[in-house]
Amino acid sequence: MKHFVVGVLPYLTFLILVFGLIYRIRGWYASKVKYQLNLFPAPDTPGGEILKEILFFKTLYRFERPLWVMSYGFHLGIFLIFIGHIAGIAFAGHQFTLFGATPEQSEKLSFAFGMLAGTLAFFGALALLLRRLSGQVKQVSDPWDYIDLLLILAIVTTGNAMRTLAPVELFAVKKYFADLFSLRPINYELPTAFVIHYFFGQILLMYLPFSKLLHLAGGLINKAIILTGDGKAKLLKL
Amino acid sequence: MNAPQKAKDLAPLPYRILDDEEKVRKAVAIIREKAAESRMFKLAMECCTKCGACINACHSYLGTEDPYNIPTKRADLVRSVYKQEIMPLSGVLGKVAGGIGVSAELLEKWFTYFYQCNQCRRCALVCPFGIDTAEVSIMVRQILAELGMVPRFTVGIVKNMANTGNNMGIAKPALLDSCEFLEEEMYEETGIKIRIPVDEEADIMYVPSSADFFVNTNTMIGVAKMYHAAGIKWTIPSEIIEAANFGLFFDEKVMKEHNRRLLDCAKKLKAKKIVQGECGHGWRAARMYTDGLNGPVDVEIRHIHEEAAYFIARGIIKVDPEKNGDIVYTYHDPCNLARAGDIIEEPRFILRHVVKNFVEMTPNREENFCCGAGSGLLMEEIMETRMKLGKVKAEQVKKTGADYVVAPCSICKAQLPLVFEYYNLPVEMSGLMDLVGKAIIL
Ligand code: HEM
Repeated sequence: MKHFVVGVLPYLTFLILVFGLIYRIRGWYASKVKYQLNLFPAPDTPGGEILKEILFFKTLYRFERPLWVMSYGFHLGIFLIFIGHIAGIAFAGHQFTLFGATPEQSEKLSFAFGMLAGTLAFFGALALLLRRLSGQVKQVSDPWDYIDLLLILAIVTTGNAMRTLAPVELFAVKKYFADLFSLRPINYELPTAFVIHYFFGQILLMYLPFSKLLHLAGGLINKAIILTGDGKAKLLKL
Repeated sequence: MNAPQKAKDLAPLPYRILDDEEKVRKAVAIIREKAAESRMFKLAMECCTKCGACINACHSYLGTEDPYNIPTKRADLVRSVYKQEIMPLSGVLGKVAGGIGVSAELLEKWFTYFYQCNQCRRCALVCPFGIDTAEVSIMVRQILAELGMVPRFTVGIVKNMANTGNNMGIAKPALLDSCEFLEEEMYEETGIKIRIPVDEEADIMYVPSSADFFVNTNTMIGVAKMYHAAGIKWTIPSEIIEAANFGLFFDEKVMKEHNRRLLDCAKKLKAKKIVQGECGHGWRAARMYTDGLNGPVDVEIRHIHEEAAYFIARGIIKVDPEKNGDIVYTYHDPCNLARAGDIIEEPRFILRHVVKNFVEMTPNREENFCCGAGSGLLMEEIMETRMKLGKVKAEQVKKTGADYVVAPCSICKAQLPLVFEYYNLPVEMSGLMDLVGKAIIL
C-alpha cells in the first residue's frame, strides 16, 4: 500500500492531472462566445483588472469584505505552500542561501515561512468551513463544498504535523522526488506521516481538474469575458 | 410559488408543446447544446465555488426571501442536472455533488424561478468570477422554450411584433394618428409646428418604445422637441417602432429576427445612425448583440441619451432647469442601460442640466438594483411576485426622500408606479427625455 502511494500512484496522478486539465480547458474554449457580454464600466486594461483580481481578490474586497479576509488568508496560505513546496524540497530548506543566508538561517526561515503558510491555510480553511456551516451559505452548499474544504484541511493538518510534531527529513524527500522524476525504483521506506500527507495531496491533484477547484482557471476565463469591452467610442467623453 | 401562465399555442415561435415524457427525454441534450454555444453558461455551470457573495446582492432573493431566488441556488436548479449528466466523471462525482436527473417537476421549478430572475446582472458584478446568472437565465429560458414552455404574455408580444413590428400591436394607420395627435398637442403647448416624421428618408432613424405613443407620450414629445430644436432631420420607421427586443430574454431566433428588421429598416430609410429610445434591454440587444447577430454593420448605433448629452454639451440645444420646478429628482439606473449598456454618466449629465435638484440613490450606477420587472416580467398574473421583486427598489427610493423618480426604460416605467403605490410612496415617475422636453428652449 505504502509502496503504491509513493511508487505508482504519483505517475497516475500526474497523468490524470495533466490530461484532466487539458480536457477541461479545451472544453471551455470549444464553447463559443458569440456576443459581447462584458459589464460596464469597462476597464481600459482588462489584463490589469484580472491581475488585481488574482493578486488582491478585488471584487470580493469591494463587495464582501468579511469573506475577503477569510478567503484571502486561505488562498495566500495555499499560494505560499505551493511556492514553499517547490523551493523547500528542491533546496531541502537551503533555498535562502541563494539570498546570502547561512544554511542554518535558511532552515529557520524556511520553517518560519512554513509556519506562516500552514497557519494561514489552516485557519483560513477552518473559517471558510465554519462560515459554510452557518445560515445563509449553508443554503447554497452541496456535499462536495464541504468535502473540498475537509480534504484541504486534512492535507494542511498533516503537513503542519510534519513540520512540528513528526519532523520529516527534507533531504530524504528531496532524494525521493529525484528518484521519482528519474523513474528510478523506490525501494526504501518513507515516514508514515509523509505518506499520508502525500496520499491526500495526490487525491486533491487528481480531483482538481474535475471539480469546482478549477475556478482558478475557469473563474478567471469568465472574469475576462465580463471585463473585456468592445472598445466602441462614446459620442461624448464624460 | 407564483409562475406566469404558459402559452397553449406557441405560434409564431418555431417550437411546439411537448408532453412530459418527451420534455424529460430531450432536456439534457438541449442543455449540452447550450453549453457548447455559450462559454459563459458552461463556466457558470462548472466553476462556481459557492462562496455566497451573490446572496445579498440579489433583489429577487431580498424581496421574496425564497432561497431558490439566490443567484447560485437558482443556477443550481440546472447545475444539479449538469453535474449529474454532463460534467466529466459525472457518473462518479455527480451524486455527491448534489446531482439530480431531469423530471417534469424540476422543469416546472425552472419555469417558476427563471421567470423570477430579472436578468439584471447584479450577481455578475459582485461575483469574484463574474458568473452571470442572467446568462444562465437566458439559456434556461431558451431551453424551456425549446421544450415548449413559454409564458403566454411573451408569446403575445412575439406575435404582435411579427404582425405589426411592435409589442403593443399598433398598425401603421394608428401610429400615424397618434403622431398627428402628439404633433397637435405640441402645437397647442408651444405654438410651433414640431413634426414626428414617419418613414421618411433621414440620417437618423429613431426607434422608440411602442408604449411611448400611448402611455409615455411625454418621452416621445421630448425626443421630437429635441430633434426639432437641434434642427436635425430624423424619422421613425413604422415597421419597427419598438426598441424592446424580447428575444434577448428567452430566444435567440426572435432576437435575431428583430435585430435584422431593425437593420433592414435603417437601410431602407438610408439612415446612417440608429438611435434607440428609452428601453433598457432593447439598448443592450442593439448595442451589444448586433455584431454577433447580424454583423458586421456599417450603421452607427446610439442611445437617445448619448444624443441629448451631446447636444447639451455642444450647445446645440438650450435647456432651462427652472422649467422642471423646485422638486427633488432622483435617478433609477435601468440595469440594461447601466451595467449592461454603458449609459451611466450621460443621464446624469443631462439631469444636472434639466433639473435644479438631483439626488443619487444608494447604491447607484452599475451597482443599482432592478425595478423588479426586468427581463419582461410584466405579466398581470405574477403581480404578487412583481411587488416583492420591487421591494428593494421601493426602499432605495424611500431613502432618497425625492419627489420624483426618473427611470428611462419602458419596463421600469410600467413597473415602478405600481411598486410605489403598493409600498405607499407618494412619488412621481417618468422617463428622462420627458424632462428634456419640458426644459428645452425652442
Ligand atoms: C489564481 C488562483 C485563485 C483564485 C483567484 C481563487 C479565488 C477564489 C475565490 C474568489 C473564491 C471564493 C471565495 C471563497 O469562498 O473563499 C475561492 C474559493 C475557493 N478556493 Fe480559490 N482561488 C484560486 C486558487 C485556488 C487554489 C489553487 C485552491 C486549492 C486547491 C483553491 C481552493 C479554493 C476553495 C476550496 C474554495 C472554496 C472555499 C469555500 O468553500 O468557502 N483556490 N477561490
